[in-house]
This record gives sequence, structure tokens and C-alpha cells, in this order.
Amino acid sequence: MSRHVDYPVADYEPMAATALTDDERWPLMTPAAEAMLTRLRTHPSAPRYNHACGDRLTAKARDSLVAYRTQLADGFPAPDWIMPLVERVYRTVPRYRRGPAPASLTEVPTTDRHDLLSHAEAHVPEDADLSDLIVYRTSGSRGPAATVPMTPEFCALDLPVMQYLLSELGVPLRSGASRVSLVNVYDQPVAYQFASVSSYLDGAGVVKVNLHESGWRTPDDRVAFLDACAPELYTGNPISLAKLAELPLTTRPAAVLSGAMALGEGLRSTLAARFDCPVVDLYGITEAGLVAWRPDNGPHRLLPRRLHVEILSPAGEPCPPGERGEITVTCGENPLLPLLRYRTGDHAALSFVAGEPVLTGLEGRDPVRYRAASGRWVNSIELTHVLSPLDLVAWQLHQDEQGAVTVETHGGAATEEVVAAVRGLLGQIPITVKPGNLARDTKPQRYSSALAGALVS
Amino acid sequence: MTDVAVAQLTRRLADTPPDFLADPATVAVPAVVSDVLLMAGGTALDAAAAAPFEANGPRWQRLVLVACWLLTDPSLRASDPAALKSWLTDPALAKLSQLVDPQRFTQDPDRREELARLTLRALSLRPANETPAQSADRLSTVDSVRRQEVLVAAKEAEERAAAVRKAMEEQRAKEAAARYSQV
Repeated sequence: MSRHVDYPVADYEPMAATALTDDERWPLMTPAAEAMLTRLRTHPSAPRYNHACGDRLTAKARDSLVAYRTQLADGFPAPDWIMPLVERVYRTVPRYRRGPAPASLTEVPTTDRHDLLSHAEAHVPEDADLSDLIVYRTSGSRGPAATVPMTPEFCALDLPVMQYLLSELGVPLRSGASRVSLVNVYDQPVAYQFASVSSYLDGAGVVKVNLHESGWRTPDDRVAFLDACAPELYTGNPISLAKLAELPLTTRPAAVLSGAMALGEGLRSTLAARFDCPVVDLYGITEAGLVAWRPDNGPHRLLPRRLHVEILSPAGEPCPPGERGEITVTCGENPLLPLLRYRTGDHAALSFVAGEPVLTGLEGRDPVRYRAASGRWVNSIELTHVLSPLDLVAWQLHQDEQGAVTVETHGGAATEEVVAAVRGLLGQIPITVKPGNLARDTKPQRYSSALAGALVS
Repeated sequence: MTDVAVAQLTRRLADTPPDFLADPATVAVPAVVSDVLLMAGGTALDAAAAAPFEANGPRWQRLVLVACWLLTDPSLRASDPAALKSWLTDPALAKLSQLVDPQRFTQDPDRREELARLTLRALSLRPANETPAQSADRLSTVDSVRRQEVLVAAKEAEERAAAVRKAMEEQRAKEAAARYSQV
């Protein structure tokens, strides 16, 4: 991969992060799926792959995912799973084993990403099988980045969840080894790119690509490759999907799914018109998976998972329906990280529409970009990349109308390190660093800007 | 039965005669136990009941001898002989002998208190001038078996935490699996 030599993130050496054989990546590989994988890997316009990644699904895991899809179709489960989960967590998770199991969920103390960050191992049940443990770093856009342990099966829950919400929209996912079902697009100077297949989708191709020109042999390869894939679905974030919409693609997906940041109505309309298909705004967190979705500008509908959502006040009291507070989740679906009353850092009100729970006024991570001294726009995710390694507990970064940047920091790095990290991306702009105390209860919105064009919406 | 002063028992343990600390191989342990039972109004051990006191390990035999000395304290003599016998053959006493050198139950103040309190509990007697909560709290602070269990549990927990940290650091874990959405 032709890297920006001055780009201050060194995590993505081509293929340096791989450790498995293909047999280990795809335990259920079929000849047809292997042919699809070969086609994707050897396509003359393929991106400069810098990673390899399989689904790691066993037959048992795949069967569980199929059963999960049926369960979702049955609608919201009765809440009789919650207290058995509390009992199990208090019995097996080190973080909780010093106290008696409470009689009700509301007596369980809340936890958050800071807690997870400081000792993730204390959140893993003592009886959990570690043999297929995988990890993901959270994006770090709503607090310190944390390493989240999970199983390949939990990672793949997205697929039956997507099938569920697509079926609600009347969009079938056809899958099968003769087609590419999903392309997950990024647009960053540095990002993993790989080709994969999904045994859950009967061998369908799955590709992760970086639309940034540095990830391709020629800029035109992006269109040639993506049109050759002709995926059923594109997933991405508002910034990468906006970039996708600018490409002169001739193929159209059956649906576009946006996540990671709030999808504004303007961009949603643009994408819907550009691709002539449903555009879905997803809300989720790495620790718990997908939580809610909306196909329009309305409220976000909760997914009928075994995932309990509470809305809590800053003091930790449950908010009545319709009142805004912090989205707090309880979920036992990740066997390596069961969550009890996990505060997400995102805010919304819980309401009911036609008897079904929805999140209104969801305020997660606004997509913000920053103007570098050169005039180039820099995505807030890139700033997260350079600020995350500095051991800051939290930060808020604001660019004013003149382009000057103020960084308020909480704990950790020296001012000079923060200045160097930000200037590594934005160049010689005026920077003021203000070390201080960003109270964790009032979840800081990390990124804001007064510059015209900074908000991608 | 009246409550018993713990201090009276710990003093008795401090005054344990050398005969009770002798090499068990040189002492007829079943005979000493039988004497204790007879003093309490019970009967001597028969051959079958005597066998374990001859066969089990010397550490346990030593602690049995020390416990016998304690059980002949005037404040305990009215105890039910069956309860005395039950305490002398209690697995908890055997476990204690494995964790702590039996001689320390005569020399170390905390161990003397531990054996005194365990004995009172085994005989369903209450320490004098203490509430049940105070007695339980005091025993927990000198409880060698419980302390050992806590140490073992802490060691196991640390080993597990290290195993999880190692698994999370493995390159195999970091290669991860394909993700299908962005959150």
C-alpha cells in the first residue's frame, strides 16, 4: 500500500496484523466460496489489500446465527432473560464477584467504558471459553478507546440483524457464493482492506475497502472493482458513504447502511436518490453490537434483541418515557463481555410508537471534519487515531471560524504531544491546548466546529 | 451451659505441657482421646474408632493432642462427649493441621485464639462477653482455613486475568473476524 509517509499512524503495515491460515479463517469454506474469494483477491482492479480476515464461524456458530435470525423475526423477547443474566454475571464475572446479586436490575450499579478500559479482563466471565476470543478496538469517538473481547459468532450477529431490518423494508438478502453481499466502505488515509466470504451467507463475498485513493493502484480501480462486485449492500459511515456517492458507479445496491456517526437527513436523501434504494441509519456500539435503526428521518427503532435499554439521568436515575438521558444497555449476547447497565455515552429519549420502543433525539457522534492549513478536510476519525495513543482520558476539539483549534484535555499527555499530534494532521494552524477536567458524567461531544462545511450532513 | 472466656482457653493453650507436644510416635494418641471422652462422661474409643488416631498423619495427631489438652479445661468438661469426639475427627481440624504447624497453636497468640474459637464453635458454646457478630468477626480475622481459601481464590483469579490478558494480546485475537457494519 502506498502510505502517506508523514501520516502519523503506523498500525497498518500490509498483512502485518494477520496470524491465521485461510483454513482457520473460514472453517466452513466450500469450493464455491473459495472461488469467490479467489476472484475478489485476484481481481485486476482490486484494492491494495493490507489485511486478511475470515468469519471464523464453526458449524455450531452458524447454526446459532440462523436460530438468532428466527428469534428476531418473532419480535421483542419477554424480559425474563434479564435477572438470570444478572445472577450469572454476579456469579461468574470477577468485576461483580465481591458483592451479592441484587434482586432487581435497577439495583445493579452502572458501568461504562472507563471501567472497561481500566481492566477489561475483569469483565470476562471466569467460565468463558477463551479459545476463539477476538478483539476489537472501539472507535474512541465517545470516550477513551477500549479493547473489546468478543466471539466470532457475536461479531457476525450483525448479519441476521441486518437481514431482519432489511426484511422489515421488504428487501431480501439473496446471498450465495455467486455474488458479493456486502462491501463495507471507509474513507481514511489509512484503513484495513481485505476480501472475505461469509459461510452464514452461503459463501457470499464480503469486502472491506478504503475509498481513499492511497488504497488503490489507480483511482479508476475503485469504480471498476466496486461495479464488478455489485454488492447487495454497502455499509459505511456518513463520510465514506458521501465519498461513495461521488463515484461514477453504474451498479446499485439493494440498500445502504450507515453507522458510526449520525446520518443527517441531507446526506440520507442524497444517498437514497443516488442509489435509488433504502438508506438505513444504524446505531450501535462495539461492546453490544447494533442497538437501533431507522430507514427515514424518524426515531430510531430498537432492535428486538435480548438487549435491554434504559435511559438514565446524570445522577443514574431512570428517566421516564420521553425524557432524554444516557442510553444504558444490558445485554448478555457477547459471551465474553456480558454487560449490565453499561452507559454508552450516547443520549436519547425512550418512547413508544405503535407499542414498539424507539429512541428519539438520538445524539451520538456528529460527523465533523477539520480544515488543515493546506485547505484539506480532515475527518474527526483521523484525529481520534492520533489522539487516542496519547493516554488522554478525554478531550474536546473545536475549530473556530478562523480555523484556529482549541483542544481541551483531561489527564494524560503533555501539551506538546497534543500539539504535535494535531499538527501532524492539520499542519501549522493556531492551536491552544487547555488541560482541565472534563467530567465523565457529562459526556463531552469530542468534536465541534464553527467552520462552514465542517458538518457532513 | 455458660459462656466461656476465650482468654481462659488461650491461656490454657499457652500452658500446654510438653507431653502434649511430644512426637506422636511416642504417645498413645487414642488413649489420650479416650481419657478426654471418659472425663466428659463418655466411653473410651473402641478399636475401630481408635484406628484413625493411630493411622493418620503426625501433624494431625499433634493437633489432636493439643486439642485434647484444651478440651480438658474445666470450662469445657461438661461438654457432650459426642460433640468432643466429633470435633476431634472433624475434617476442618485435619485441614487446619495441614495449613499450620500444630505447635503454633500453643505458641502464637493468633493461632491460640483461632483454635479456642473454633473449639467453642464446634461445641456450640459462645465466647463470653461478645455478641454473635463480634464473635464471627473475631473468628474471621484469625481463620487460617478461610485465609488460605482467599489466597487460593485470589491466585486463581489472577491466573485467569492473566490468561484473558494474554488471549487479548494474541495476534490471533487481533486479526479478528470480518465486521459487517460500522458502529
